[in-house]
Amino acid sequence: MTTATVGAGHVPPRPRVRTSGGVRTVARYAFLIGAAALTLGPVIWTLWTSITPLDEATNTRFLSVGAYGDVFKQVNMWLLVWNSALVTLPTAFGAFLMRQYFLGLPTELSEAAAIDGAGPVRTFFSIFAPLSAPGLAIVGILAFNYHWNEFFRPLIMEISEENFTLPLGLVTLQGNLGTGSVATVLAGVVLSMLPALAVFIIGNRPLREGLTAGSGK
Amino acid sequence: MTATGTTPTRARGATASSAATRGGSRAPALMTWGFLAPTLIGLGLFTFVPIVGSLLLAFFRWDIITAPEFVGLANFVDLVADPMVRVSFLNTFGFVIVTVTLQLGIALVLALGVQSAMPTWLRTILRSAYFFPLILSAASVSLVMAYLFNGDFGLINQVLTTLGLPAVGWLTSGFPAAAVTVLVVYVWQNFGFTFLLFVGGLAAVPKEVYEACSIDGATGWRKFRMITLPLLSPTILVASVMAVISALQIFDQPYVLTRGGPGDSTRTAVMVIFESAFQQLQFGRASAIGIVLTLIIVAVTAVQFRLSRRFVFYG
Repeated sequence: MTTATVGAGHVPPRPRVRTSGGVRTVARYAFLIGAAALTLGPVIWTLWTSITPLDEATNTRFLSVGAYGDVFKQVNMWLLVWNSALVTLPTAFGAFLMRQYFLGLPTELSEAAAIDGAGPVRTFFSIFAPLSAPGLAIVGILAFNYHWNEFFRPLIMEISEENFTLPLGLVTLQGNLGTGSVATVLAGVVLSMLPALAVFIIGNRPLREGLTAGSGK
Repeated sequence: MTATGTTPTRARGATASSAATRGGSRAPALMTWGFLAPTLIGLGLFTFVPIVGSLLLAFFRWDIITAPEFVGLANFVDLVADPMVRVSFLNTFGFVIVTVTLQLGIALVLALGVQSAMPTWLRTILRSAYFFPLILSAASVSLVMAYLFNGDFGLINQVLTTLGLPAVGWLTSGFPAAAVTVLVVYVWQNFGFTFLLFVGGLAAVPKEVYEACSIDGATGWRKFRMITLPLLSPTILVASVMAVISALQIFDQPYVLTRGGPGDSTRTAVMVIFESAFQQLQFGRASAIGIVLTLIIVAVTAVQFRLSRRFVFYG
């Protein structure tokens, strides 16, 4: 307690750290931005290469979104999306995460509801379900991402190509020995990524706050 | 059902005055099981039943077509003698050690970096960038990386030759090139999750501790060693357990990138399970390998928790 109050009024140590850090700050930024570039590099390369297919006659690249159309021509994209949406299995992880979330809610709420005459079902649906919405969002986002991208289980279970999910369809698109057109495969990768990206943009806030809260315990 | 369903409710309403002492922790049994039922039924059908089935199957020889034949421990004895199984398990262990170390190291450095003073917009961009590969499927990532690491026309070899360095057969030449490629692809995709856990863990460290620490004159490494590391240790434990469990089960990346080759240099334990069952139709053998792998995962996790008693500091 005392250290905190002293710390608030005690300024000198801070500038000392800062002054020695002029060059260091630049190096730190360079490092962090470089790491971000390395992480995003393959993604940007994928986007770029999917819209600049190779003209084999002249061996030059040209700008075209034709590869995106080719994806739909070569595989039944809607069927793959539909199959991917159907893949879902209950996981213990979701139950674990929700339990953590419910433990954080005050028990007084259910007592108050009981005094007001609400039964357990009503208490759950009118009080705990709305309050646990952020927790449900996290479980929902993670479950969606997991099943959307799942490869191993569909690979085992789906024998006919009609039942393939997106990740399996993409690998088929590549063709045996990688004979598929590079631009088409990459266009497929970009298309398959869009729903997951949308879910993450929408769920960015609950996800970040939820994971932060969960790992602190 | 309605009778049993309403009785506890009524009883609860009647004793509303004593509800304060009972609290919300003691829900009626029917409620409890009602809430648990969907998950328990699903897990039972799709997880527990197959686990028991696989346990039994490990003692049989079965090719789906003919009836299973009881062979006792023969499947397990065969495993020990099989060099391919041994190589695949060794590959997996080596893989786990390197990926987990890299994943935790990279994530920790980046989480500490992002936590330091910087404009909010930059922090948001950096955080999203590190997190981004997580939203892609391992199959997509491996397809993209297969092109980037391609020996003939891949971008990485183009850069190498432009710099005057020799081109490398990233996916086609034996140990260690292909293994390194699989490893890089795996770490690239997965460090973001560990990073997120660490960012959360660092956010939970109280600011007062750092302030007190800098008043005492500690900076840089000492601050990290004495404050950050101990306070972050519970998160590090969770992150390392999760990273080890998922790395022990690696399949997607080597399957799409190399199919286990060249030779057996990137063949992992789960790949051998998959090939034994669905390509060679040796389901008993596949189950036996699966059981061995599961036991290893349980043992490693137990060791991690045991070791954590010495290193993890809880508040």
